[in-house]
Amino acid sequence: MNKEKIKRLVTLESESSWKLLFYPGRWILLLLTMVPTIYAFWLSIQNYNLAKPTQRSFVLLRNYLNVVTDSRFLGALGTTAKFTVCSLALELVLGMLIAHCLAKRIYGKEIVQIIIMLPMIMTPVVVGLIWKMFYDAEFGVISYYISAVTGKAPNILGESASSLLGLIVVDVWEWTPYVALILLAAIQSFPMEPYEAVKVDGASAVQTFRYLTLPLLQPAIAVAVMFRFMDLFKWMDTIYIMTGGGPGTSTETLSYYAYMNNFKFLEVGYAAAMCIVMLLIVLFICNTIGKKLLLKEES
Amino acid sequence: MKKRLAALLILCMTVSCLAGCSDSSGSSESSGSSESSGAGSEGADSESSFEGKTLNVIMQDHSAVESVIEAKGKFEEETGATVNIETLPQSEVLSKAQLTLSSGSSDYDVVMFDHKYTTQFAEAGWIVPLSDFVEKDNYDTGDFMQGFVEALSYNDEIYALPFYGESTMLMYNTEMFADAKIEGAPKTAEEFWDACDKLKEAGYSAFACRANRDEGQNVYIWTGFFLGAGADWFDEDGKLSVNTEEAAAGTEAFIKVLRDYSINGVESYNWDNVQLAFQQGKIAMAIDATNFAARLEDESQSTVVGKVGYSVVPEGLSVPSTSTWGLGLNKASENQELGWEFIKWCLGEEIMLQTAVDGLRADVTRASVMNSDEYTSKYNYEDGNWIQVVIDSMNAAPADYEPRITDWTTLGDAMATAVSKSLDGEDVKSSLEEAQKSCSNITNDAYTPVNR
Repeated sequence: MNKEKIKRLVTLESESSWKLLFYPGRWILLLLTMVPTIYAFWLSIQNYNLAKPTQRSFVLLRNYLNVVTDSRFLGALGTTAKFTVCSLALELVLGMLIAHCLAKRIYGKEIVQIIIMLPMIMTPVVVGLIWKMFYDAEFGVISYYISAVTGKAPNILGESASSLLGLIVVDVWEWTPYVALILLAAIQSFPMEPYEAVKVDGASAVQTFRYLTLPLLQPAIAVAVMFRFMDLFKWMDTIYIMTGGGPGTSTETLSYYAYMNNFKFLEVGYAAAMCIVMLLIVLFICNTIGKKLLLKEES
Repeated sequence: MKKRLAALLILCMTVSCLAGCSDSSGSSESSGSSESSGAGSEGADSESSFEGKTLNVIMQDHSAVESVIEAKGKFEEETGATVNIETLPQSEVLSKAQLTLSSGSSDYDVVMFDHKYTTQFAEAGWIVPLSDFVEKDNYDTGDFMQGFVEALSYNDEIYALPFYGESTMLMYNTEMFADAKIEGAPKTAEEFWDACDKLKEAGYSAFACRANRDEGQNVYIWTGFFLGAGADWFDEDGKLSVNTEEAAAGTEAFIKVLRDYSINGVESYNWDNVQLAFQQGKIAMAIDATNFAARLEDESQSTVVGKVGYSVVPEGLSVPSTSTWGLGLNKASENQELGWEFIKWCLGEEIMLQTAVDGLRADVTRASVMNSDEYTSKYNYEDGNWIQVVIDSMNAAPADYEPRITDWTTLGDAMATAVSKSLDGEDVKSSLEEAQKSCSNITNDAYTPVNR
């Protein structure tokens, strides 16, 4: 009897089999995400510098107060916001265009689909190193062509006016294909009937896009926006390679500043408080995106 | 019933998971104990007491370290131990060492670090003083250049011995100087600016140095200008003073030379970019590490071999730096004895001379090596002038060129950011003021003033 029951359980035929699938995953997730987060919170209420182990003490919310009044943190927040919004907007527009082109029956579509994925599968560090060479004021190919037109070689990463723009271009180049692929998958799953119906009704191409394609695409856009937002918000690998946050602090994002605090200044408590604040920001924005774009669709 | 079964299953899975974990930890424990028992049984036999042991060393990715890696087979043969040397670039090696040491891990037995971190490492109790080992072996530290040994000491205890050491000097392209009708190296600030003007007129990029805000980049050279203009890191009361008139003057000189007389894109230059630009004959002057010479005078890398002049940095413009990286012992290491043997071997006269003669090591730390015939004949740049300039620079270099404080990374980064901002067009004074404000809690009573 018991043997039979166990057999049914492991062959997933019993009623409680779902627990077998569900619980281990839940516990692993708890261990891997909740425990570190709670530990980060525990650190964030302490004055804790790794190099000064004897001065470790509890300061409650003082780290948080310091974070929100730290001008460099606020500057980094601004840089992150600029970077996220600009990159996201460009990636969505370009991704939409590419997805529409690829949805059409064009010659050699399969090859194009593979080629546009290449930037996405490259290691970010390699991307950073290559683009750094492209941008190099003395030897770089981009500077060469710009100087051929304007007569003066630009110093893209060396000036605060253009350094962030330079990084946005890299991110757009690397991640537009990702957005395009998500949107393409959605477009290809569209039913044909509504399109035939609006054709009969005599809708223009713009009207079809505005009133039919866009609403149908909304869930896919929400997914793309949410994933890209989370990635952009915590972005630092290419900055680390390309500008190191400079010139000045013009390309210093939140993650980079948190990294500096933790790994360079060894201010573990302060960095943890910073990360918790970042977590709250991400949660808030993702919730908003989700409610605005995903739930509206369902209702 | 069902609930119980499910609970049982989960328990089984958890246990198997834990068993998996303990398996690996168990095996590492057993290997650890076999090591220690090996050491115990062979303690009497000093010849092979390190037989089968493994020594883990973390070092900077550096030409001097490469020579040691090539030669380490000899040490392994002598002791029977295995030496793993992990190398990382300058900025990463310190972060990794800090994290490893602060967690009390014994992953690395021997750690190589920048002298500026001596205070931090020693104060936190991450490394052991070497004095006991030195005494026990009657080891002579007198042959090392004393400035370096002092830089690696804290509270009169030696915490590390210098592996390589350098200062900064002015290097100039003699061909371009002749073309611009400049006679000899600029010795003072006036002569330097005059040379800059003449070189600019002749169509050359006169000067370049590190200007990127990364760790150990712009601040390393900027500090020379800062101290050269008469500023000091701390005032009489030990309070930080990086927002003084002199500090602003030094910073302005640094910015002026980079903005008006340098190569396009210098803002993002690290030391390797400076070296490349000099090797390719793109710049006429550079202030950087003394050991650049070895690569500037190497025909396989450089187009300016034999055309480089060396001089102490111009007076009133800059002061020569003190920079040394030493080898210390991790407090948590179980292989301290072996580690000490490795440090002695690594810094021995024989191996230092050999690596200097076979490889490119223009940064030795032993006076006997630097004065030896083999060394002087190999590094005979500019007819021996280079060695003279190196010795003069090292003698003139202040011990607290960059102050030895626990919070150096914080202060260094604040200054790097301020300098980078100023170079980008922001007001020098307000940038320095900002740095002063953000680091105002840093004090140092043990500071050796440079200009007071």
